[in-house]
Amino acid sequence: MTDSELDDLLQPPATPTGGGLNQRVWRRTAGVLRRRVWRRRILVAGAIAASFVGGLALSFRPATLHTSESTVIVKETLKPSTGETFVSLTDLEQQAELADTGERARLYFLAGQRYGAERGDWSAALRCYKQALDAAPQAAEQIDPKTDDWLLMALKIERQKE
Amino acid sequence: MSEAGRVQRESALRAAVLAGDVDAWQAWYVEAFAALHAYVLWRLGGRIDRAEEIVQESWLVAVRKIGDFDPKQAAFLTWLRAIAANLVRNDLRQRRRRPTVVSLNGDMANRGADVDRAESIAAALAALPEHYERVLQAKYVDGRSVQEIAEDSGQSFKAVESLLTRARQAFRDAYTGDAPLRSHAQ
Repeated sequence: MTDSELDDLLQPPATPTGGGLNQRVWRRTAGVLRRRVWRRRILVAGAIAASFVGGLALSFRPATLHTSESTVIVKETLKPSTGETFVSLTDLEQQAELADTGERARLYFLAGQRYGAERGDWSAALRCYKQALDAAPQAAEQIDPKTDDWLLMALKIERQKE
Repeated sequence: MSEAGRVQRESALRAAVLAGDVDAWQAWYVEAFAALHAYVLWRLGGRIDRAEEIVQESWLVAVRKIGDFDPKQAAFLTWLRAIAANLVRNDLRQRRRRPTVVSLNGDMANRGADVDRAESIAAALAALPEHYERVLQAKYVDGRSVQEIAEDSGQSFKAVESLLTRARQAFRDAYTGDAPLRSHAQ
């Protein structure tokens, strides 16, 4: 084989024009790219939605924590005086019912606070607070935001209006 | 454009394409399409039908794997040609397993002879060591002079001239089936 023949074999063939190969390949590759962009957008949107849902879920956490903090505070305020044992709510309400007028009011207030704070049982708390205010009507005149919960404050305000 | 400028530009294009910028992809596409097509045709000895498939597949692989492209290691066109070269090799391997039956009558005989010639060129190029294939590509496909190839590759004029001579001889041997190719790779 001569050098000239070798050069002929190695010469690049003429590239055909037309036929639409260029456009055809362009459409396919651009399509791949566009689909990738859409996939990414969907993923980003999904991530944002997931973050939103996660944020919503987390937003309930502080409320829960707040409740437990209240519980701790209330428990501290409701601790019986020295020498007094910490009784169950049922027993406490029963003791209140059987106690003298002054002590009765104190025990009903205590029971009402504990029903609300420990169990979230506001109907039981309402029952006890009503009993306490009936036993000591003068207590309705003083509202103490540090020790009175929202229900007791509302009842006192109601009593003051009467 | 300097090598540092090319790396900077191609890094920016790569980042833009990865972010989904179709215009950036188009800039690359327009620049490289004809060069890749010419290369694939050359590698296939002028088989237009096969070349179209390989070109299409090469671009699709490129757009899907653009994240693998590292501008510091090679230019985009070099990377693209490497993808095409792999596809050509795979294509040749597959066709060797399924030989084409060609009629020897009339026009078909001429077509058959062209196909045979194309197949032999493609097989000879595919069998060359990579540095031989690269120097032949630079000279014949890219039309670079020996001096330019020497400057691009950082070698001396003499070294490139000698490399080109050995590469041409290796191709000749492979095409005529004379000698084991890898013995020329020294």
